[in-house]
Amino acid sequence: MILIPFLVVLTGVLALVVGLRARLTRSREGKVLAFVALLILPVVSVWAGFSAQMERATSTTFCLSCHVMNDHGRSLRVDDPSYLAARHFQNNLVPRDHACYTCHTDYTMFGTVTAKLRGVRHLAVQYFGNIPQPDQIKLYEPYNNRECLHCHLGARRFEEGSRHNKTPDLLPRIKAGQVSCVSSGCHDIVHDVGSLKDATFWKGGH
Amino acid sequence: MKGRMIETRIKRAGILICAGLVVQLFTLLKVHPLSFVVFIGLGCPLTAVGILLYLVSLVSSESVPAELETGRGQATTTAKARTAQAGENETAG
Repeated sequence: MILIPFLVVLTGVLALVVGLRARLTRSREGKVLAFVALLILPVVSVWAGFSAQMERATSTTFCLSCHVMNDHGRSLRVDDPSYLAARHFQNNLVPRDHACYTCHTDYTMFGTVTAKLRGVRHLAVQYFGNIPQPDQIKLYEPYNNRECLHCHLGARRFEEGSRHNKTPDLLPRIKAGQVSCVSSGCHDIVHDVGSLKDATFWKGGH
Repeated sequence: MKGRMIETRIKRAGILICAGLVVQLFTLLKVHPLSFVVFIGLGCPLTAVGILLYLVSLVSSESVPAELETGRGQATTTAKARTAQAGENETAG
């Protein structure tokens, strides 16, 4: 990770040197230097920086860095397995470093881009809109079963679970997205940040 | 004159790229959504404009004749001087 800042600094210094001493480019060696300093290295630096930013943007720290998301972060540590997000987080069903992103990205071709655009929308609301209370925060669109099925589809516990096979047509309807996983009576306690006042919290996992 | 224009473009390109990379460096310091947005909205465009400016200085129609013109100009002057010298020698001979 230290390599990227080093690369950026090196590129910046070289670009500045070539920029301030443009006469260098009159010689053949100067032309080569300019080509490297003003084209090759900047492209590599920006690409490396972009990759690093994209990687960071999927981290739990990134998502919880806004104050308004504190309670959602706390809900991951509720000591109650009926909290869906907490159960996934505490049992390593999602990577803890990327917990938010793992469940809230779209598993489609441009899912990451869509997720980032939604993130920009969050940011616009944070700085230019009316920030809702944590328990009033809702998804822009209903949660899609596709995101659950990305991991659970084919898993024995999911396919053969008695609650998923309560009626013969339930499992096919879940898979088709006709019955939501987080619908009432199923996994309907997800973050439930309104009830955190009385909750106890898991201390482990740090 | 044209050579100076190229150098001015290269100078601007270098400064823009450097500015973009400085922004990028600052955005790498902290993991925060604003860092991401500043990187995408300011750091990347500054660097991209710098790179484009450099490429424009390479391929612009003015840049090629400028260098060739300087080179040809010098060569022509030298050749003329040589011809004149040879003519004088012949006359003297």
